[in-house]
Formats: sequence, structure tokens, C-alpha cells
Amino acid sequence: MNWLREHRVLSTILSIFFILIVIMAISYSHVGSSTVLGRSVQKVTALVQEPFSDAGNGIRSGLKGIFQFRSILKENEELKKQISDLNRQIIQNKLTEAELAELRNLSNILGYDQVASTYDLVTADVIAMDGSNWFNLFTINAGTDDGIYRDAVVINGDGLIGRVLETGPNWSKIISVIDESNSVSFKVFRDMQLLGILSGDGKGALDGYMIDPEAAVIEGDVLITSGIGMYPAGIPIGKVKEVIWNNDTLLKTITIDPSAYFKNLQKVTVLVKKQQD
Amino acid sequence: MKYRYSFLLFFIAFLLQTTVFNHFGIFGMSPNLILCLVVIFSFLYEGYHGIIYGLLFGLVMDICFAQIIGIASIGLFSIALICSELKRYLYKESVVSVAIVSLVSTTVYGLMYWGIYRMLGNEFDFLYVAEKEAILLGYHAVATLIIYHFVSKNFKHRSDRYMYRGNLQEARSLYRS
Repeated sequence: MNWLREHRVLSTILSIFFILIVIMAISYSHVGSSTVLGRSVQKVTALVQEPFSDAGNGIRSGLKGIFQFRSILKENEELKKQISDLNRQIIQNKLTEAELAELRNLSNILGYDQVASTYDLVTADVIAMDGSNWFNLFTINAGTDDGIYRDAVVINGDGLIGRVLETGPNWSKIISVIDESNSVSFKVFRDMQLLGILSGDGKGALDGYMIDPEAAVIEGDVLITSGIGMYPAGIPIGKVKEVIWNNDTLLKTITIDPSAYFKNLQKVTVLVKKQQD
Repeated sequence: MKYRYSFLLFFIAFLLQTTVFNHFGIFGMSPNLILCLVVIFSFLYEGYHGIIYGLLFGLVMDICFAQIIGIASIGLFSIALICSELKRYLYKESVVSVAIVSLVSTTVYGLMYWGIYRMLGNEFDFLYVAEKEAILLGYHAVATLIIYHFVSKNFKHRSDRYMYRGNLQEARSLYRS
């Protein structure tokens, strides 16, 4: 005790370190489940962050409009031309009945019908993003009040984003698929027989391997979720960037360019399972 | 500087960092304002502003965004201690000193963050992290210097032991007598 009294500063510093390490250890063993205090902090910060985030979006759009006025005008003209070309093309390329049936069949295989019939879609705004530059974790302004639960799948217009790590009444914490240590099962869009497993590569992208070492996967192949595990089938994940044969594991490993850009998300959709009546 | 003012600065920095700054990131990255403030307050000011608010906002950041709570707070707390120690050896009024402290802090914080996550089983690639840290070094040096100019102009930070802390008129009369 005398030592503690004599070295008050040092013992305070060591005690703080000790407490933090204990918190870290508890948190490590209970990832994704905050205490009441943690949830309250999240709730309050979510309330404050929302208007700031809206303001940030507004400023960004405004500045973009000012600085890119000429390029936007040019783009607008090009798009108008493109629309008229596409309209002409639509009239020319009317799908035959057989082709349409084939596409419907394909859509069933991809699971689009399944997603629509078994999931409710909850759209939410991203109100805050992890400022550490290391991870792509973010908070959205929807939570248990909107039916969101832990491990619900999150997507956007581009494809798979991730899953809900933790949720409260008006907020949810989302972990992106590139930060995931859990694996995601995928299939190749070009040939649905080709299956594989992927996960975050620790470099801000994704890597994985094909279950069949002789699978004819090539660069540029689009990957979609297979439906095995928590992710429903048919959600685009990304494109194959590189295919490498690994002599050590005797597996065909691939690196994947994610279809979603995680650094600038504004709106996401959470897939919430419909209640069984 | 009063603790309530520094709290306000930290709170504003936290809000800006997590909401607005993400929209204006360069190379998909934005400066860690909380780290910059911890560096400035620990290096320039007497008292425990950097240590207390580094710890507090580190915990808030962990609660709001991290999978594992405690890593950012340990990092920021350590940085505050290092900066408090560095002010013994470096000249506080110099911009160069502030830049050096910012560079050292960013590097140490990055290494600590990587080391702890690595120990907990996260497979962060060191080269990927080093690439990010190289960009962050530049960001943080610029951000710290901007905040330094703002803070040092608006809030006195000299720890001059001969500086009279009472009423100005009283000081003048004492000086005349």
C-alpha cells in the first residue's frame, strides 16, 4: 500500500490500463453485445449524428454541383442521347416469349423471388461511419423498432454490404463483408455450378477459393451469394480480379473486387425476414 | 483552458469525424481528429485534457463503431501519455515540434492498433496498414497544424510559471509598485 501511495500517478495509469484490458477481454468474448451503458451511448450519439450526417450529405451534393457543373451538363447531354438510343434498342429487341420464360427461370434460380417473398426490405440512411480508416463499420438510422435484428443481411443497389452486428431501438451497427472474418459462400453467375467460399482479405478487399479445384473460373466473372448460410441467394458480391493456383493448399484461390464501394455509403437496405403467420 | 471548452472541442471533432469528414475523404481516408486533439492537448496544455478526453472519446468511438471495445481508448490513452512526456524534451512553441509529435503519435497509434487487432486474431496485412498509415501521416500533420493554429490563437497554452494569473489591473499596480 505504501508503494501505491508513493507512486500514485504510476499506479493510476497502470489501473486504467488494467481496466481497459479487462473491458477489451470481456468485449472480445461477447462481440456484438453491448451493455446497457453502451446501448445508451449509441442511442444518444445516433440522435446527434443524424442531423450532422444529413448536413454533410447536403454540403457534399452542393459542392459537387458547383464544381462539377460543366461535367454534369455534359454528362446530362450524353445520358439523354443514351436514353434515346436505348429506347430505340428496346423497341428493336423485344423479348420473345421463350426468352422471357428463360429469364424468369433464371430469376428463380437467383432467388430474387425468394428474397421478395420471404424478406421485408427496410431502407435506412447511413448516419455515421467508423472514423478509424481501418474498418468499414457504420451506423444506420433504423433498428429494432423497424424490425431489424442481429445478423440481418444488408445490401445496397450495387450488391452485398454486410450484416447487422448490433442493434438498438433507432440505430444499428453494420459490419461490412470486407471486414468479416466469417466466410460467405458464393457461386459464379456465369455457371451456377461453380461454388466457393470467400472472406475479407485484410487488405480492404475479398479473397476466397473454389470448392472444386478444377472449376473454370476466370477474371471478370461475377460472383453472387449461393444461399448457403445466413446470406440469401442471388446478391451480387463482386467481380473476380485474379485467379491463382495455390500449390500449398491445392486450391484455386481468387481475389475479388467488391461490387459495393464501402467508403461512401449513404443508403442501404436491410433484409428482414417476414413473420410467419 | 477550462475542461468544458476542451470537452466541447472533442465532441465537435467526434461528430465531424464520424459524419461530415467521411464524405470528403481523400483516397477514401479522413484524418482522425480525436487523435490530433489528444496530441495537441497533451503536448501543449498542462492538466489532463488529453488523457481524460482521449480515454473518454476512445471509449465512445469503440462503443459506436468497433467490434471490440477498448482498443481505441488504450491507443489514445497511451498517445496522451507519450505526448505529455515528449513536452519535457521538445520546445512547445515550435510548429516543427508539433509536427514531429503528430508524426510520432500517428505511427505509434497505428502500430498499437494493428498489434492489438493482430493479437486478437484479425488478419490485417502489414503492408496494407503501412500504406494507409503513410497517407495518414500527411493528413494528421496538416490537420494537427491547422488545429494547433486555431487552438493556440484562441486559448492560451503557455505554461509559464511566472505568468500572473490574477486580475490584469492588479498586476499592473503590483508592477508599478
